[in-house]
Formats: sequence, structure tokens, C-alpha cells
Amino acid sequence: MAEYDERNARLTIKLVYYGPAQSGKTTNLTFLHDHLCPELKGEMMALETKGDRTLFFDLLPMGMKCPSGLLIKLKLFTVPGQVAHDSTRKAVLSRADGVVFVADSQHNQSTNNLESFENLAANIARLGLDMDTLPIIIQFNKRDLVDIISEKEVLSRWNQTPWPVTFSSALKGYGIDETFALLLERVYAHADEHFGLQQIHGVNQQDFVAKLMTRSE
Amino acid sequence: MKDPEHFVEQVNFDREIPLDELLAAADKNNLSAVLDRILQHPYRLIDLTDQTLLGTSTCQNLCRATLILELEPLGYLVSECRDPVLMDLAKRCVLMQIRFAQKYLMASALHIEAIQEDYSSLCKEHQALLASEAKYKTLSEHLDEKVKQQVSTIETTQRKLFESEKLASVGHLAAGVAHEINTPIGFINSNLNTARNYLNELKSICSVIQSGDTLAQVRVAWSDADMNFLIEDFDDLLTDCTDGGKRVAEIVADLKLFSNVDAEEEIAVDLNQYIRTSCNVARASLGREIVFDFDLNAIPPITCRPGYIGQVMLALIMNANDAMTGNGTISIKSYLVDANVVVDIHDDGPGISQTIIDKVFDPFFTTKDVGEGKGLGLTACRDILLAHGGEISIESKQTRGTLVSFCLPVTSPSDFPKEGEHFE
Repeated sequence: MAEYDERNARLTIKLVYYGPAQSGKTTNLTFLHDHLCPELKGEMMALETKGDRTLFFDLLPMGMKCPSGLLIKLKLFTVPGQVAHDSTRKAVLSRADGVVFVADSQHNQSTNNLESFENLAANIARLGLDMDTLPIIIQFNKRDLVDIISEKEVLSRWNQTPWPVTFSSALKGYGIDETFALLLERVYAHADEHFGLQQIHGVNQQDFVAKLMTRSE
Repeated sequence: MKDPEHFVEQVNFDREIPLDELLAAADKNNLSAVLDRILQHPYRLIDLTDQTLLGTSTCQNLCRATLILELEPLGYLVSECRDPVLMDLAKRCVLMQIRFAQKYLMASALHIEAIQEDYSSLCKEHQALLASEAKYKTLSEHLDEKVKQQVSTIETTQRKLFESEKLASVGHLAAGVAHEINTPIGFINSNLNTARNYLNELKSICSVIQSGDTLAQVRVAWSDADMNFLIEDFDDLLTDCTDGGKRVAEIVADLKLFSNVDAEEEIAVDLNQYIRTSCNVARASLGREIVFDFDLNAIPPITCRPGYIGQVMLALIMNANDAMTGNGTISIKSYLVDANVVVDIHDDGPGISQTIIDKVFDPFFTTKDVGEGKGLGLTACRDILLAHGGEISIESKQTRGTLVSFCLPVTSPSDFPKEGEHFE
């Protein structure tokens, strides 16, 4: 659950981009960093090894001020996707308030997607989070490639689940902010329920999303 | 008590890190040297509570730059230098250092979290393995007990079966012997009845003599009674009876060899005698014309438990007989090879199929009809011979009969089972 620091008037919300190796989690964050201009935006911190593989995590901080003076701070993290880094992945996921699962649309990645999603479910359970209430968005990335699974097939598979599905190309820059907006809507609902964002701090869902989603031109 | 494995204090890697901690992780000496060179005036780094973390605490607040790492101010750079360009340069230097420190602190905290997670999951796995090891240990102990129970049940059953097999061979023996003894007893009885009639005839001649009749009258009576034939036949009757008695005596002598079926003491026996005797005993119950063809060579005595060896001989002869459908010949040969006495028993029956010949010594394997055989005859033979240090083998050619060969060492085996134990 989001961390509320009354003394410093700060609510920290942690959002995690999860998914198989090289599905485009870091590219998602980079795009948001480059194209969004929220009220407050920090530098993107990347901890990567040679060859642009995420070793620990990437971090993009952003935030907005409520009329009440409360700072809502969003910390967007990515996890390392490689199977071997499971403990790191689990540590990054801990205390998450929302998850974007970035799947690789390529046909030959179906198994990796499935295994990674099962790993997400397992880690959510191990961390004491609740799969049913935690806001999760499923993003099928790399739609710009040729040998990819069709939208129809993706939807037929994921329709039965409670999670919304988006299609994107982080490299070409579409579907990324749509995914992020969907996540923000859901995360707002949770935070509002627990911290009275609208009643106490005077910010409604629309303002919340709009302020954070301001596009830089 | 503190677990020595958890000596590193664990903190959330994504917590807000205060400026003093960031500076502690940064290269303070170099930073202050660089700031000295850039600003050329006194300066100080302060946190939000106005506490000096680096530089001169008495420095006057002539110019101030806010240090924002992520979104919010962490502290300030305060200096007496009034040049905004130099102040900006100095601020960038400080931020560069603390950003690097932040990266390092977050990565190391995450690393510790991951390592401790790995460690605790290894501990859990270890515990699970110990638990499953204990489970399997209990299971294996239990299993051992179960197996022992089963083995003991099997042993008891086997003992009972061998016992019944022995009784069956004794039964065979009894039937044969009864038949053998019945014949002479039959004609001895019949002869004695005739003898009693002859005696009555003699008595009437005696009464003629005693009544004081004339010699002529006696002669007439003698001739009427055909006394010459009677005396001659009487002699024959007695001879037949003596022969019959002798035959019974012989059978009883043969039987004596089998009378100690359960005797546990070892004695030296002439195997050839056992072969002949067994054939004699068997012949009675064979029920058809079987020719025995003996080729018994001089062999040294064998030290054995004679009852068991008799059982083996009888069982093998009965088997040979059962193998032949009509009349036939059973050839038995005994000879010495090195320090072993070998006995070959060959029948000229149809032989045993190659597909089952490997199984004939297996317990409960039988080709006989249900109720005819238990399939323990050859098993018992093999066990008895093995216990005597001997061996048994079987070979068969379709249509050319079966040869069962067994050998026994001339020197006595010393590792006989003790009294009460069973051959296994």
C-alpha cells in the first residue's frame, strides 16, 4: 500500500513494470520520461549492465501537488526480466501499488510471457499482495514487429481475466501513455479509498491523470 | 538472540534517503576540494533542518541553491560566493555526487534484500528437504519392518508347503508299498486257506488209520483223497508262502530306507542302493509297464541325510514316469566325476518345451492339472541338493526325452542347516 508520510506531507505510490526479458519495460519508462511533462519530474535512474540489460532496476520519479499541499510522488520501477534475477525482481515488486505487465507480442515469446506472468503471480502471493485487488494492466508490446500474435487472439485469451489489455510499441511510441493512464486511473481509485484524495486533498481522478499525463511538446 | 547470519541491517531499497546518508556514501574529500576550487569562498551543505553536513558551519548565507534529487528539496548549498554561474556549477557537482551515491545505496540495499531472500528461501528449502528426508527415513524404517513381516509370512507359508510336499511323497510311498505288500499277503492268505482244507483231508485219513481199518481200506481212502497230489501241493503252498513272506520282508527292508524321512543326522549311504530301492518302491505305483534300465557304476558312499535323498530320488523317478504318456524306459546311470557322484535320470517321453524349461525349478510352476501337482517337486529337490552341496540340472530335447542330472559331493558338506531349520 502507498506510503503516507504525514510529517513531510508526501504520499509515495510505487508502480512496477514487470515482464519477460527484453519485452520493453525500460523503453516504456524512457518513453514516459521523454514525452510526459508532469508537474514534477525527476531524472531517470538506470542501473544497467553492458548491452542495456537491466541489472537491478530503472527508476523514474514523478509527482504532483494536491490543493491540500500533499505531494503525490510516483516511483516507476522496472524489474530485471531475466529468469535468474528472481530475488531482485521480487524485492523490486515488494510494496507495489500497481503493475504493468509488459508482454512481448512476438509469436516465439509466448512461453516466456506465460512463465513471466506465472512468476509475477507467484511473487505477488509471496509478498503478501493480492492479485485480485492490485491494479494490473497487461500490455502487449512490440506491435510494430511482423511476426506477432494477433490482437484477436490476445483478446480471446485475456478476455476472461479481470485485467485490461493494451497494445503498444514502446519503440514507435504508441500505446505507452494509454497503458500508463489506465494504470493511473486504477491506482487513483485505490489511493482515494485509503487516503481520501478527493475529499481531503481535493484532487479527483481526472485531475490526477491529467496532471501526470501532460504531454511535452 | 541475534542471528549471526543477519548481521547486515536490512532497509527498503526504495526508501527516501536523507542527505547526510547520501553524503556519507559519496566521496566527501574530493567533493569539498572541488567546491573549494569552484566557489573560492566559504560554503556549507545543509539539510532541511539547517544542520551543516559539509563545509564551514560559520559560513554566511549570502547565496543559496536548492538541492533537488528527485522531486523535492533534500537540502541546500549555502555560500558567500555571489556568482550565480559558479553556484550553479557547484550545485551540479554536489548533485552528481549524491545521485551517484543514491544509485549505489539503492543498488546495494536491493542486493542485500535479494541475497537475504535467496538465503531465506534456501533455508526454507533446506528445512523442507530435512522434513522430507525425515519422512522418507520413517517410511524406510516402516518399510523394512513391513518387508520383514512379509518375508516371515512367506517363509512360514513356504515351510508349510514343503512340509505338505514331503507328506505327498510319503503318500506316494504308502500307496506303492500297500500295493506291493497286498499281493503276497493275498496269495499267502489264499494258500493258507487251501492248506487248512488239506489239513482237514489229512485229519480224515488219520481217523481212518486210528479206527483200525485194514491197510487196504486205508489205501483206498488215501487214493480217494489223492493224498500224493495233496502232499506235493502242500509243499508248493508252503514254498509260495515262504517266498511271499520273503518278498514282504524285502519291501519292509526297502521301506526302512525311507522310514527316517525326517531324520536330521547324516549317515554314509550307498546311493546305488537308494536308486534301486526307490525304483522298487516307485514301480508299485507306476501302474503300467515301465522298464528301468540301470547303469550303476561303483561309487563311494555319500554322507547325507538319507530321508531327504530318498525323497529326491523318488520325486525324480515319479517325474520321469509322469513325463511319459505310454509305456517307456527310464534309464538311470550313476558314476563318479572328480569328487562328485553324478546321477542321470533319463526318460524317453515327449520332452519339455524350451519356452518353459527355465521355469521348472521355480516354486509353484507346474504343467500338471490343477490338484495334480503343486509345482514344488523340483523346487524341493533343488533346495535339498543345494543344501547338500550338490547341484541339479535339466535338459530336454523335444521328442527325445528329458535328462535330469544331479551331483553330490563325496566329501560331506559341513554347513547343513541346524535342527528345525528348513532347506531354502
